Amino acid sequence: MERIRGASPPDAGAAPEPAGPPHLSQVAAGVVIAHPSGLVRMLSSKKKAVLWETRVEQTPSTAATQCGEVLLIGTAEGDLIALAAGDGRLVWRRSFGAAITTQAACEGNRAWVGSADNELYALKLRKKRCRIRWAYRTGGDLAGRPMLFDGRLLFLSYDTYLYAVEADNGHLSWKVRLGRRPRSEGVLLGDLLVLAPLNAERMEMFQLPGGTQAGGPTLPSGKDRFVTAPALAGTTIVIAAARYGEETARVIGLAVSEEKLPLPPPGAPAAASPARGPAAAEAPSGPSSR
Amino acid sequence: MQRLPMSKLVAALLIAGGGHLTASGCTRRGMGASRPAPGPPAAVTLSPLWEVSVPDTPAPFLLGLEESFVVATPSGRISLFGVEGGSPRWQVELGARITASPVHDDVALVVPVQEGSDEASS
Repeated sequence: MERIRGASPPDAGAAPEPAGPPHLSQVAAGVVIAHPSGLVRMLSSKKKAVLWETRVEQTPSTAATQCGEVLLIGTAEGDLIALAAGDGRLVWRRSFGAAITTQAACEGNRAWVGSADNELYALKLRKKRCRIRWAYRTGGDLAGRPMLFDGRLLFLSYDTYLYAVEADNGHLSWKVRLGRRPRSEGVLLGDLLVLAPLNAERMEMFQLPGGTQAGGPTLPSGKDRFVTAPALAGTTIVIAAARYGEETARVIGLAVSEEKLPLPPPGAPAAASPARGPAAAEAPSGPSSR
Repeated sequence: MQRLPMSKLVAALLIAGGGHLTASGCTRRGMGASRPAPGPPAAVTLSPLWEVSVPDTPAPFLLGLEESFVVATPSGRISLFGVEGGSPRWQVELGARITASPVHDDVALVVPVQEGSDEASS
C-alpha cells in the first residue's frame, strides 16, 4: 500500500471544506477525484503521480465522466463543467439552474445528465460549448447515472420510477414504478438490469429492452434490507444486506439463471405472467424541446 | 509541530494481479448489446451462491472487479474476496476512515480516506 504524494488537498488545514465525500471515477488516464471544495485532481496509479489539478470554484455534485477529450462534472450550483482530460483546463461550462444530480452518460458527442429540477437533459457536445437537444421531465429529482441500452436511455427518478426513453428524441418507451426511492447505481448483465432501491427488502430485475419486470430476491420482511447498490463481479452479482438494529452486514453473491418456459400450443391464449409489465406514460412526465 | 484539522487524502492500494472494473461500465456494456432474438420465454432468477460476513458496519462500500470484489468499511478496513465461493484473499487496515467507495484504475485501488486530527501533523 502506498500513498500518492499530493493526493491530499494542499490547503486542507487552512479552511474547513464543504461536507461530503469526494466523487471518484475511473477515466482513460487514471482516476478523477472531485473534492467538495472544488478541487479536481487527475491521479495516475500507473505513474504514481497527480497528473494535474484544478479548482472549479463550485461544489462538484457528481463524479466525472470522460466524453472524448473532455471530462464532464456536475455541480451543486447547477453548472455542467467540461474540463480538458489532458490538463484539466476549463473548456466550457453551462448553467442548468438546478443542481446536477446524476453523473453524465455519453456516447460520441452526445451526453445526458439529470438535475434537481426533475429534468433529464440530452446534450450535443461541441468544442466550446454544449447545446440542449431535448429534456424529459419526471416527477422528482433525477438520481444515479443514466445508462444506454439498445438506443434507449434508462434512468431513475425520485418519483420512484425507472424510465426508458428513446435516446435520440426523448420519447417515452416505458416506465416502471419501483415503489421506493432509487439508489444511485444499478448493474447491467447482458439484457438484465438489476436494481436495489434504497433500504429495500427486494431487488428489482428488468429484462431489456422491453422492461419486463422479473421477481428479484427478497429478504425477510421487516428484518433485513439491502444497504448497497448491486455490483458486478464477473458474471456474479454482489450486494450487501443488513439486519435492522444491528451493526453488521453481509455480502451476498448471486448468480443469474434462466429457466426456459414451455411454449404454449399454437392458438392457445397467452398464459398469465407474474411479471409486471411497464406502465404507460403519465403526466407530468414528458419530453420537451429546448 | 502544527496539528491540522481533519484533512482529506487519497491512498492508493496496489492489488496483486490487478483486475478490471466492470460494474461502472454500464454504458459501454449496454451499447454493444443487440435486441434479443425472439425465442421461448425464460424465467430469470437470481440464486444465492454464498454469503460473506462484514462484522463491524451496517453500511460497507462495495466494488465489483473481474474475478473478485472489494469490501471497504468506514472504519478503514479493505478486504478483497474471490467471487468463487466468496473466499477471502487479503485484508488491510488503513488506519483512517474511508469516506466513499474505492475505484479501481486497472493498476490500483484508489481509496478516499479522511485522516483524524490526531494523525495529521506537519
